[in-house]
Amino acid sequence: MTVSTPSAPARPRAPGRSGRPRRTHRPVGRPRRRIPFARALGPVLLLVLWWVASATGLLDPQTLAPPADVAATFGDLARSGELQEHLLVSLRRAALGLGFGVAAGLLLALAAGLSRIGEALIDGTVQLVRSLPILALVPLAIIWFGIGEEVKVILVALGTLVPVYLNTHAALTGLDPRYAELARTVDLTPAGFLRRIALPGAAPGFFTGLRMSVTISWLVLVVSEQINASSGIGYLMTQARTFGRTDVIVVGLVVYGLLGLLSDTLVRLFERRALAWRRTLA
Amino acid sequence: MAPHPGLTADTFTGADPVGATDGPAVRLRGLTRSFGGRTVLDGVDLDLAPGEFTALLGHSGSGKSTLLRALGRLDGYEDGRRDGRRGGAGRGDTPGATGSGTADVPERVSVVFQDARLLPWERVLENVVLGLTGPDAGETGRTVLAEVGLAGRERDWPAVLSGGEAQRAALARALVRQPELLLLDEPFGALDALTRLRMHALLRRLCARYRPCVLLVTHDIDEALALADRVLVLTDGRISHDLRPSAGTAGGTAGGGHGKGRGELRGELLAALGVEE
Repeated sequence: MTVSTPSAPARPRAPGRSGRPRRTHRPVGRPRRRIPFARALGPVLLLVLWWVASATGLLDPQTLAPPADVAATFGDLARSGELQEHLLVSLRRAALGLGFGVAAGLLLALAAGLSRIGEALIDGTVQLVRSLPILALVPLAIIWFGIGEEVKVILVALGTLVPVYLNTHAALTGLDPRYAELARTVDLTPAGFLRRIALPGAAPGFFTGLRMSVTISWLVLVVSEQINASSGIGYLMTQARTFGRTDVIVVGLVVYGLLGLLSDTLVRLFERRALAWRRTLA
Repeated sequence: MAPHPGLTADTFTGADPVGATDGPAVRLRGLTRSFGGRTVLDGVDLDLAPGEFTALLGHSGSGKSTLLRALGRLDGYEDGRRDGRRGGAGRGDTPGATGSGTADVPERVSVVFQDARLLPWERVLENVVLGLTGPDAGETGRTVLAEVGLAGRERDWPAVLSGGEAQRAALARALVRQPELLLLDEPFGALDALTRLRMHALLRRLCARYRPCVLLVTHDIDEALALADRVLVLTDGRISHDLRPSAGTAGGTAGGGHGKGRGELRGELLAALGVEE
């Protein structure tokens, strides 16, 4: 379905040729007929609404710049290289923070899940950190680490550690104890147990945590870049606010959105490969 | 089933064939296990000869599984001492458990559980050779998989195997390490009757070939009589009956000579288990 005329968005009905009686009750389990690009329908509709509202003057450019202006600004920023520069800075911070956070979360989860001393020492501590909204640490983090790169990376790492830890730890403790028994009967070494049983058994939980962490990494980064930074997408947006440039702000939003979407897709691809054995379970 | 050319009897039994040693393969003396004050095994004395196929019958709760776990060193006791360090997570050990007595078991012990217990994230071949090291582990695994009738299924995920196939893979995993003692914990309990009969035939063939000392824990008298040279009944933590069906009984006909008929044995075992016929 193509939505190109202004009159179209007023009809949010499902597409389909009229005349066909629509069945209201579909038997459960019967495959649904797929609407092409079904998932893009809502966002496209929103875009059209925005465009129409801007074109008719309903939406003040001071409140939100029209889509065409945003696109033009996007082009300008990309041509000047300014966008890429800030993007790289943000990407680096997110990647570093995520890398440290995920590694730490995984190691802590393994230590807590596989040893009783580890469980006693680590689990309570992480549960305590978890109950703190991570962004509440920003003032203290700034005092401790200043306003350099470290503070942003550390905040992202702290924020991403928690979901990876929680989900990996839950998967490990939920691992069937009969597999541990099996490990004894085949004389698996501790390293073998870790590699063949503990890690693959915890992988589904780890990936759930990883996907949450990727989302959180951008969230923490946005906030820390807007509070105290001199570069990065968040900084670009804060600067734009000072000058009332809603077009630049929207460009920043779009970039963050694309980054989030892209990173989530990457993790899902990775997950599909790593958990290939699960596809046969259905 | 023709043995694989690369695997002669020597490669399987090693330099010291099990049958050559004179002593018993398994020697239990005064084996006692209690859980929270309840005595499950009460001073069990038992010798199992190398290559002997023994079935262990008993009510649920009679201590069958506890005995098997002790033989498989799965209960956290090593030489009568508790040792919680073995086995990674080490959560199988029950708190409040005490034990005494000695259990001399061979070095190579394999266990087949009632559930196939294949790792869902490893392919069939990787499951079979789990814990094996050495360059020819994969080749040995393939050979044993072919012997249990799973040739060509090496790259399958365990989830696509049927119950019987999964149990065959579990059997292959047990045999691939050339066990001197093979422990079977109701391995066919979850299979349908026809599959179970086919598994009996397979097990008989494999045992004739590998000659391990076998202890089969079961609650099925007919299964015990069909497979075993010797049938034990465990009652209240002690071995109450120790019977030897004669050679002819496995075929279903009444055994001659010194052995008892199958029907007679069956009646005796039913009575031992407290079932009126």
